[in-house]
Amino acid sequence: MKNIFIVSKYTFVEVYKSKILLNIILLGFALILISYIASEFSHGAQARIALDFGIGSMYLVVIGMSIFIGVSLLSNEVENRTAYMILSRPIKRWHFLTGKFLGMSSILFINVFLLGIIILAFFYFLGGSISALMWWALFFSLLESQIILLVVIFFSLITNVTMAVIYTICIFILGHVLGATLMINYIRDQYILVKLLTLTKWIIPDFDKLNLKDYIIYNHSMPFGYLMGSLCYAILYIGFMLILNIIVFERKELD
Amino acid sequence: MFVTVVHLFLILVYNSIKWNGRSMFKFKNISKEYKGHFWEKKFVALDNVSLSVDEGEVVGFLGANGAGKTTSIKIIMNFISPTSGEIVFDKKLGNNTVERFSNIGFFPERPYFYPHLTGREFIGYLGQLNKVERSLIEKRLAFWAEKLRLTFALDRKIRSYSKGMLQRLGFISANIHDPKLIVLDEPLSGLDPVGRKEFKDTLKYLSENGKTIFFSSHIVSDIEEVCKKVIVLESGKLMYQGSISELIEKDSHTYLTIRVKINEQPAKDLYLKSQIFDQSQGIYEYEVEKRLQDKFLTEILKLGGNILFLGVINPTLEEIIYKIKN
Repeated sequence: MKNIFIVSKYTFVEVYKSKILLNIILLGFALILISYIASEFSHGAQARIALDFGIGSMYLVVIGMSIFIGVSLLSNEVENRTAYMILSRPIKRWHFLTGKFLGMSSILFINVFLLGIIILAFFYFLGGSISALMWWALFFSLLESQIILLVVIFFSLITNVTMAVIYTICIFILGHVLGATLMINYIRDQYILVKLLTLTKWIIPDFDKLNLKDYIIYNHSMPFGYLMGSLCYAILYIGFMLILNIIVFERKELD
Repeated sequence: MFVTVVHLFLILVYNSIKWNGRSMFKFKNISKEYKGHFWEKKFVALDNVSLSVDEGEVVGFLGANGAGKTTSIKIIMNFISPTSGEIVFDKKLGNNTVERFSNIGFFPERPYFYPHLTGREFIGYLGQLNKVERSLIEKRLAFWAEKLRLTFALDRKIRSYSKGMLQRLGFISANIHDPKLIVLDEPLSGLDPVGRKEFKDTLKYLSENGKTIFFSSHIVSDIEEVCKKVIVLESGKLMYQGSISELIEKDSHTYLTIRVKINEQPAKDLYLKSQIFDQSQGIYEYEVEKRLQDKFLTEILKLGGNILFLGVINPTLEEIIYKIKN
């Protein structure tokens, strides 16, 4: 288990030293600027619009980071043979994979935390009041980015980098639209289609469960049970994807 | 009957002692095939290869590019699995892959590192994975960095390292846990002559300290200089394994080089090949099989030739390997 910590520590140090965090801070200021410009076009709901733009932009940045850094997290290690340097040590492959995932997750955590603080501080500055649900929304964004990270790692292990990115974006879009698609009247009339989409919904992550953006913008409250249910769903899905990745990586030929 | 049984038992015991006490690892009929799409023909990277590396030996693993050297090393390091056959490690190295890797130092071909880490951080990372104490990592790092002249660059980011510096760092990483078996894949490629000399000296130093070294190269002279044993692969097949000196000795006694001044050529079936050494003076050089030596010399004397030189020229390993291949 100590090996997982060592790998995650050095994964974090490597990404940290690549000055990605500096870029995040710059991005934070860019988000404030975007939120400010957007809020200037609104009357009476300045803070809400700023929050909408801020959270939305942050969410896309975090998902983008998950996909584009995640896709090379293991595939680059294998292609560049850095994995050889590590896996020729007394370490199990699943320790290495879990360590890489946790290292990258900690980068995502810092990213969400820093950008979230900047956005909420700006929202507060514009007169908004910060609710507990906003922290939940940030936390769920982090969980969603981790699921996306594991999905992209999975595809990068079984296909090439380009296809892994394309497949992951497809999963991301499907994960957001499947729930709404099942609500369409035309679809509801098609028995086979409903069954097929329901089955797909079971396999593909249901990101609707983790999307609290509309609720915080319109200041709605959410039952605690729903939040806990979504949290359990995300944790189980992360666990499932991690195990799937481990099974694939354990069997992968490192050519 | 009793004597036969005792004899067989003694042979078994001897082989067992010999195996347990000597061989670091053995390939037993290893084959590796690669298959692309279903319509593509399979590619055989290794074809029924059996080889063994004994404890304390420095073994050169020789073969042209694409001969199957790296594939074999990947099988040793468990990065890929063989299609058939098995690899058996000495129990001394450990009972499973993880235990074994505590006692194996590996250096891949064209090693890549994490570019944003410093050399010291990277070695610290690998040392920690090898469960080497922090103080010992520092001590060994200082020793190897001094020996390989890398001390000045240890606190620089790896992305600023030159090719030679990367090779040195990779070599340090392979030795930071003081392994019993060191597996090196083309460790001398891309190094300048001074760097090659340093590396070869370091390999000799490790050998003197009882390490078993298995290193691949496609440059025969490097292996000839450092190793006592050589394993030759060609197109995935084992061509030769054994002592370099035996190979050279065996081959060198077979042929003679005879230089003569002569106007008339001897019969063609008495020599293997001839070449003009000095046309203006009519000097020719012949390669003659040892069994035909007397007949050839008698023929030369009959033709009024003047023998200028006769000798067993020791061929280089390179020439011998070329002959084996052909």
